[in-house]
Amino acid sequence: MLSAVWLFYRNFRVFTHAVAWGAWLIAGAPLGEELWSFVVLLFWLKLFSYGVIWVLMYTFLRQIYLFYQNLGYSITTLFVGAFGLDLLLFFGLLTIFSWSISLF
Amino acid sequence: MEHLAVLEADSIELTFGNQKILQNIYLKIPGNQVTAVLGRNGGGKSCLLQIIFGTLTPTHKSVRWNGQYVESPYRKRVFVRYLLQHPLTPASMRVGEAFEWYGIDSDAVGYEKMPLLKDQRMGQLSGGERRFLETLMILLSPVQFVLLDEPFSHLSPIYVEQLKTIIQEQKSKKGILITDHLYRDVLDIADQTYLLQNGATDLLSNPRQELIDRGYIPE
Repeated sequence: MLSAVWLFYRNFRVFTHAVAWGAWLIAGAPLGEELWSFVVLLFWLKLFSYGVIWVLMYTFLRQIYLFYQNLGYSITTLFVGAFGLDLLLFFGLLTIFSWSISLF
Repeated sequence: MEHLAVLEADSIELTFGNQKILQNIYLKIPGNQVTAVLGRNGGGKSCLLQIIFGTLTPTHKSVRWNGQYVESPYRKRVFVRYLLQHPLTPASMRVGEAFEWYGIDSDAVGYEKMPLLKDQRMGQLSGGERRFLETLMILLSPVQFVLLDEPFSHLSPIYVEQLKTIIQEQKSKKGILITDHLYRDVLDIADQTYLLQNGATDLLSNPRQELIDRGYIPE
């Protein structure tokens, strides 16, 4: 299942990362303690960007889903999986970045 | 694999606004036959296939496998696959990889051009070639039923003939539901034919004559 979710996520990973990293930079690239106060806002921003992706794909690229539905995956499963993966990657990278900065 | 499985669809009612698209449907798709559904453009054939597959929710429906109700057939593993009228695979995916995703060994497909095509990306192929390969992906899938929505569209006659042969071979392994406007090709391979007209299906006992009588094909 993870490989199917990853394949699906690749369709919009650039967009979702651009939005999140852009927002983080606009907020002054907070790290450490400052980052934690910003995490909730970033989460809601990510959720919002997924809402936009869902609407755009449903409107213009609905046929994309059929490749995955033929494999037994529903649209909800794909989006929930991709959202979880995206959060893991984004906040994982932020945490690693934050640790690296504090070390040096 | 269960060869004698039966997929049935009935009590389907689909409405768009005030317009009833489907209202009196009964389809029985035996697991080792080719079942054809013919009907005019806009008659609801594609909607019917999507309802059976489970990705379109109508007002009412009953889709049953061996008499058991199935809410979302596509969620049931190795059960049903569906070819729609649009490209199926991601354009960036290589041909061999796409077959692999669907559980098919591309080297064992038996298509003479496969060794040349398997490393190409789907988006690099011509429309007809891509359509042919995607139809093969669905047809050769290790599932009990396949639903083919206009598989012959945009294909050259040689591809159509090849597909007809493969459909005839595959029907011993799975139930095949096909809809297409190339009615001669469909009738050549169909074991049973339904006409979808005014939102209702009728099983035809003498398809060629009844299709003329009902105004679907010219005399």
